Amino acid sequence: MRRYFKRYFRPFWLCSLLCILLSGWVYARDLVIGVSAAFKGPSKGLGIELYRGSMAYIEHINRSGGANGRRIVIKAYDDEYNPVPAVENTIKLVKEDNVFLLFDYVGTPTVTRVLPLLKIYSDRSIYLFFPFTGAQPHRQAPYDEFVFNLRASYRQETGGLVDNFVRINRKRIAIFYQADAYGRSGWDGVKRALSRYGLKIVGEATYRRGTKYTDSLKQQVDILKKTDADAVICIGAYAACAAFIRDARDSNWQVPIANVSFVGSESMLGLLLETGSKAGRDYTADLINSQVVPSYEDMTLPAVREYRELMDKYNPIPPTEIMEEGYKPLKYSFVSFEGFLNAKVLVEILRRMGSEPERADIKQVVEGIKNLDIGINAPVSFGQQKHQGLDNVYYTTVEGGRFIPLNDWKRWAK
Amino acid sequence: MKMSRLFRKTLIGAIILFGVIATATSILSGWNLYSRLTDEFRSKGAAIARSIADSSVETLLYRDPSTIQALLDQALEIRGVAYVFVVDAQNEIIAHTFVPAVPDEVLKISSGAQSVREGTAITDLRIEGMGDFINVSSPILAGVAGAVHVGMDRKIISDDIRSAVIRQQLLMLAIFLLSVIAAYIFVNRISRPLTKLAHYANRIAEHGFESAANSRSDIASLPVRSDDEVGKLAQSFIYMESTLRRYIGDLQRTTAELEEYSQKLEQKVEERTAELREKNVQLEQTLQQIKEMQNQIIMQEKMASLGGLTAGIAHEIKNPLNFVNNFAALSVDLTRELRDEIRNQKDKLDAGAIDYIEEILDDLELNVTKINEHGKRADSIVRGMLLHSRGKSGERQPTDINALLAEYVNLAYHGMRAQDSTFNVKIESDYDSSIGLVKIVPQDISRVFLNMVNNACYAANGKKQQVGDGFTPTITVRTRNLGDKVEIRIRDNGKGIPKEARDKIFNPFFTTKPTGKGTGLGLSISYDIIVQQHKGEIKIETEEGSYAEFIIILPKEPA
Repeated sequence: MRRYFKRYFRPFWLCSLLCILLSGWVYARDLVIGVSAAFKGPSKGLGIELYRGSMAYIEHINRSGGANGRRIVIKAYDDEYNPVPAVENTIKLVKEDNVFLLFDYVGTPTVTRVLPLLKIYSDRSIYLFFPFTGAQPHRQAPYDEFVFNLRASYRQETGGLVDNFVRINRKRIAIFYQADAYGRSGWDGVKRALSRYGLKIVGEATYRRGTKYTDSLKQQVDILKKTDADAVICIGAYAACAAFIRDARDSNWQVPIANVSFVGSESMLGLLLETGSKAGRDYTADLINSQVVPSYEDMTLPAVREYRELMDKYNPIPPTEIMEEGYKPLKYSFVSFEGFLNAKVLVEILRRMGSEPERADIKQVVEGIKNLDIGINAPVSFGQQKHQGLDNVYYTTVEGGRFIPLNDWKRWAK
Repeated sequence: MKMSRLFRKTLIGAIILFGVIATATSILSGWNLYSRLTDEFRSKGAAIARSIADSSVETLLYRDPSTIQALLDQALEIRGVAYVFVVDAQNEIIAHTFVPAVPDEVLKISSGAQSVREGTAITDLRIEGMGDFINVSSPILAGVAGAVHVGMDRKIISDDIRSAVIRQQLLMLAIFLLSVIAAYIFVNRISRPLTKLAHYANRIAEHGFESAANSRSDIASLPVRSDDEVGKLAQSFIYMESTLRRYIGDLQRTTAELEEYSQKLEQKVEERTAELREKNVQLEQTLQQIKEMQNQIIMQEKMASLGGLTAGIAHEIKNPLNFVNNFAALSVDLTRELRDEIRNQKDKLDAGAIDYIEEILDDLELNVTKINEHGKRADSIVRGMLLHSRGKSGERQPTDINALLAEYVNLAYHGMRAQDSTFNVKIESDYDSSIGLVKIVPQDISRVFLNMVNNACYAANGKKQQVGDGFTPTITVRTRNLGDKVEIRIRDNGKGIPKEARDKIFNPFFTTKPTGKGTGLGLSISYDIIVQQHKGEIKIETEEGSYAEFIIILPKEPA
């Protein structure tokens, strides 16, 4: 009996042991990346598209062997663009899911509130990578050391917008912004930029975070219209900004309206086009959207070609349990392109960290990246005092129902 | 359910009282809440403002406004905080939470609020379109770096007060409803016995004593056991009722007696009336009998006088008739003798003369024979007439009346057959064998039977002659024992007796037969025999065209 057992079962349990060890090894080989973003609610377009762009590249990397042979797994939670769930998600990601790093967060009010957590978890070297926000708090002391940004800041975006408006003699600038840290950040950017010319904001109106496209923003339009502004800069999410543009145009206010990158240009455009086709009028005229990534229409850029190819190939969708039903993904968008570029830099970082990456090494590795070419004709560099990879701002406008690069501001000259 | 009047009054009182209490407590607790919440909001606002001010010092100096905005956003999540804004050293608002824009009122206080720099200041602020607020300002770095303003929403205070007051009012209402129910029950306890007493008294007033069971249950429901005023009242009521009941009982008894008397009286009167009526009927019957008797007497007198007359006539006629008869018979002999003598003298006399004489002799003989014949007939009539006058004939002797009847039916039938060979009737008989012997004069009664059966045969046969072969002439004879009387019925199915003949049928010489066939004395003699001699009765039942029935009733013993 015993002999029989040994003869037949020894190979069996050896095999089982091997399996267990292997699976453990495979498990250990996964690099888990934590995401908290808006997958539901009025700003879901931002979280979903950013995720899609990133996943297109990560899927590509995973299929071609991963980063140093390690699969990159995204663990994503929905925070609906609200600070409290964002904080809760972050705690869960760090404590329960034991993620390697945090990635692709969306929004200023959310990120701003998560920052102190990063300070608390600093002993574990938890870093936040490439949040989808241009606000200042995570670009300044004391939290800048825990955050790495890729995109240019709102100050850079708003500064560029103000510079261009002033250049075409549109000096009376009003601002429509979200009544929270994001809006305040943009407001501050506009204010600072104007003060360089000795100008002030001529009028301001706010809206509450979570405002839907169906809500009326006529009140805000009236407040700003009264100030006789030359231009309006919007610091908001796409639903509210699209509603503002709609109501402004409905009350025949044809002033140029500028939006920053966070707005989610295509989502905004989609809403305006839909309403336009229903109402039989053009809501997309005189719109300027600043972007922090080049236009995905510029096929001269290798990154654009790669982005389009991978998006077409994988067309990733967030897990259904965290995503609101009925969302129609955009084929291409500035947001998903940004997500794509975020993932590209992330993968490069993970590659540079070797096959056994340690969190403690992250800072050193990232800060060591200099002049990294990611295929957008703009090198990415980080440094000890520089936790923002890119500084370029691109301006786009709508023509024929799509965003095209804006090269000539003169058409709005006064 | 009908609400008791007492309860209604109590309820109205309670509602008024409740209203007063509710209003008073509402005002009091509202006021309490108001001052408490206002104090709380003030201190809360002050604490928030101070904490933001304290944590903003460095942020203001070194960081961008979005960090401050994040602080404000956090503060805004605290209940009661309607807005927060921060002004810098130049009195410019560097962060705020107003949507859609900073109101003018806020711009005013932010620009001209130098005084707040010294310390926490609390002012009331009304913002058009937003409401009333408690504006708490707290200086940042003793006012050198600016100030934090926190607006506490008074609407929340009023909402809180309202909801608290509403809750309190609901509680009060619940208590009130409970007490109303309690009061209802309590008042019912008092008013129900009173209502019952009132009801009871009403019943007494309406003399509701009919049902003892009713009043017993009434009494059972009365609150006699309770020792309060109601109980005493109930007892007095019961005492009163019992007294009344006694009086009314006496009254009722008397009434009942009176009624009984009157009933008895009525009964007696009725009895008397009935008796009188009976007597009346008897009298009437007697009168009728008397009348009948009178008629009979008149009839008998008539008959008697008629009989006497005929008897007298008969007697007077009989003697000459005897001579006629005797000499007629003698004359016949004489004519024979004369003829013989003439034959003897034949050769002596001329043949011609002889023939002539003989011819005359033949005529004479025929005439005399006819005289004799008709004389005999007249004699028989006279003899019949004499029978009337012959007062008593034979002796009464016990006779079997059935045998007598059968004998004479047979005799009559054969007598008829002897006269007419075509004569035929069917005879049905039904004799009551229980009759026994009856004391009668058999010769007389047999005469009656013969008479009647002869008549019946004649009538039945007569109808047969008229109607023809389809008709069966039938004679029915029946006897019946009536106890001390005997009934004999002789019936034929002939033509019946016409109405006009019925009264005269017993008169002597009345006959419906053709002349020479009947004397008209048969029924008259029968009537004498039955009614006068035997003290019986003779009646006729008939229907014209179908039957005639003679009913003879004879007493079994002579009276």
